[in-house]
Amino acid sequence: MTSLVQSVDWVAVAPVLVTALTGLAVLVTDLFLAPRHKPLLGWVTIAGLALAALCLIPLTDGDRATFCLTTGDRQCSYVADHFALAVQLLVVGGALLTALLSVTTVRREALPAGEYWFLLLSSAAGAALLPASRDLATLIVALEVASLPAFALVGLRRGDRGSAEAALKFFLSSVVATAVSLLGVSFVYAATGSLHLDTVAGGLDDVDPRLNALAALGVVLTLVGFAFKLAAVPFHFWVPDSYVGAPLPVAAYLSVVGKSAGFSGLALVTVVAFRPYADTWGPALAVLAALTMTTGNVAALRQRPDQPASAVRLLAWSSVGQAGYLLVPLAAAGYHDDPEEMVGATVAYALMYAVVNLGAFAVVALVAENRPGHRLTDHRALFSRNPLAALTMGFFLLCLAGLPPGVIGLFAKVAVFRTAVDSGLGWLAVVMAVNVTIALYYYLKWTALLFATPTTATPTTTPAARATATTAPAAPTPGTATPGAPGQATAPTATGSTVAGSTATAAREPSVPASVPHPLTAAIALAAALGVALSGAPQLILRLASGTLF
Amino acid sequence: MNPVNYLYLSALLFTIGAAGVLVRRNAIIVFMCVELMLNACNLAFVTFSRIHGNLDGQIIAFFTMVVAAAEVVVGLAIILMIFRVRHSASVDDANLMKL
Amino acid sequence: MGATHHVAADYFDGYSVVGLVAVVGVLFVAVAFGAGQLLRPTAPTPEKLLTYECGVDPVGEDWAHTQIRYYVYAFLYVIFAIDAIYLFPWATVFAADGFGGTTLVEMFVFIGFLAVGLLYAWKKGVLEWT
Repeated sequence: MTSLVQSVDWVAVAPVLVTALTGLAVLVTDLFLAPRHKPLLGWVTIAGLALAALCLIPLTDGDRATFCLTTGDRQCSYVADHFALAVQLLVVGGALLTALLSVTTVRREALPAGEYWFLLLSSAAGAALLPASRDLATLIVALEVASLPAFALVGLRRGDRGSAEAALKFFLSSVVATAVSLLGVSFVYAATGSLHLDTVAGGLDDVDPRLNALAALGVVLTLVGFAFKLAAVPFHFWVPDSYVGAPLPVAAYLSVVGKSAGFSGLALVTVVAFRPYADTWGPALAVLAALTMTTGNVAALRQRPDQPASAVRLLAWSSVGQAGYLLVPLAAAGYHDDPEEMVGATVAYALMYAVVNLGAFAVVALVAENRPGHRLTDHRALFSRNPLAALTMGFFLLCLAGLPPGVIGLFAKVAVFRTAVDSGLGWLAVVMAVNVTIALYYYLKWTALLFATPTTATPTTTPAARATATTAPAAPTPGTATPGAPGQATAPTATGSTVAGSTATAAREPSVPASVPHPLTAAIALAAALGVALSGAPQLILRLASGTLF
Repeated sequence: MNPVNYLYLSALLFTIGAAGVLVRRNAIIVFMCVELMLNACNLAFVTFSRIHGNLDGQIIAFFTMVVAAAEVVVGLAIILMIFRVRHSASVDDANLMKL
Repeated sequence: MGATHHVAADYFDGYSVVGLVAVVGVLFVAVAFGAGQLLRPTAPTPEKLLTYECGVDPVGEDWAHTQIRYYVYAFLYVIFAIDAIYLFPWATVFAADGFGGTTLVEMFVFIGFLAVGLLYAWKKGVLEWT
């Protein structure tokens, strides 16, 4: 009797496994660790994530698969192809940068260390499993493994009402989306009799005509759960509140790794499994993309810079807008003869977005070291306080906007744009172009705010002269030049009522504050180095946009 | 019994759950309705599995059950935390009134 | 086939009386309340809309907190009870030919992961009744 025990390719699953096991190790170690050694756990997490990233190296051929059926057409449930590897790199790298950001947050906000790192690693393990899974059951389980720890992370600040309510809102809406998604999966299963993505694609090719409506409904409902994770409109309403309520690194994590779980799941179910129903999900995704980017950008435009947490809110809405761009190639795949060619543009864009968005969150965290309000106005004249931070933040914002010197942002946007044009989605390309222009406004406004000088060479103290003096440096963008703009009215330390006052401010905040924690600096430096490297050699990720990843 | 009847029951349960999620405002009841939706999906899966004569549907039903259980624990913990925070907030208000 | 149908039909006939009583019961309540609704005058005042509590003015709100000390046990129970479902399919095959010791060990690895959860709960002091 031959053994029926299936052999597992442990090397193929190593990136996911290492992440999950590190999480478990951290949780158990935490139980036996004296409180003063707790900061070690953060470094164990970072080491584990780095190890998981290294585990991707032996897989670069992209030809490994495991958990395969031993009968029939030998479908595999776990495939480490180039798509899976690229997204896993994004997830593990994103979690690594988040971990660097979190080291100080965990200490300062007295979050429970063992639980925090365990939840972060568990969620990252789920998000890393998602792009490699090739059956609907594994996809749903991976989606839940990525989401459930995220709810707890959002609500981890004990006794904080905002945190708890953000977690509840996030949780309830996400769970409903999952339930709807599961109903969709059950319909697809009813129509095809299988859960493996390739078999589903085969089954959907010749569906019993009487089941046609059921299959189409199943296809659309299945997309809901993933669209929710991607924060596509109309499943986006949880985003601003959750980001503001959560600790800042968790918001950064959700905006990058959470989104990656959403778009990789969407890419897999649409392009691989539901290909025969492209005429159903193609238009649906196109409308979703247009709505998402427009809503996100218009809402970002309406943020008032002097409100508490306005910087986080702006990044939250801008991440909704960016999710719209991520959807464009997926929608284009529905109209193109060779849908697998399109997905690469999404992955390339997501990699670019992950680096610069985490970088932007890191600088927001850095500014919050001195001014904890997370206000946009706190960033005013950052250049005079911390030139390096201001320059990197400017770079990240320009990448997000897609302007030189953020070359990589521009190229990634062009790659996305091209997929829409190539597949005849002219209207979506136009909507995207309009949205990129809208987004320029608030990104540039923020950039200008960084370089606005708090004090001018002319030592005047009359209010009128002060108004002109403070607004003059911000002249390139119309928004900051409005004298009555609330940002200037309510930022007395930044504008400085007298020259003496502002020099005092400058003296209190040395250009590079000694208190800046090293992990935070490391995160910013890493993100900036990656962004600059990608801008110098965009082909590193744009390679993904040409040719198929599967 | 005709398996289609189970599908009717599943559709009914899912509808009740979805209506509850949309109409009710109490977090715990919304949450119970979500569980109803998940279990309706489970019933559908098992029925389709029976109709197709393969086990895939039963396997995903197993995973759905565990997902639902994990959701229960995380969700109830969050809801408990909210009750606790609100409770302490109201106690603070009462103290302020006394002063 | 036909005989079983007959038996089933007889069986369900036995319940027709129960069904009839249930229908009459529902009708009785519906007619009584419906008639009352139609006949009575309605003039609501705030006092009338209060919850009736033995004639005394109601105190507090309808939501009352009860102390449930054992909710963490309930959580633990839910997790462990549900995870036990994976034991059933395993139990049907692990003794069969071709599975052998590896399958046995695999299940203990799985249970080991669950035990880590229990260890966590124990070290956090959740299992102590205070």
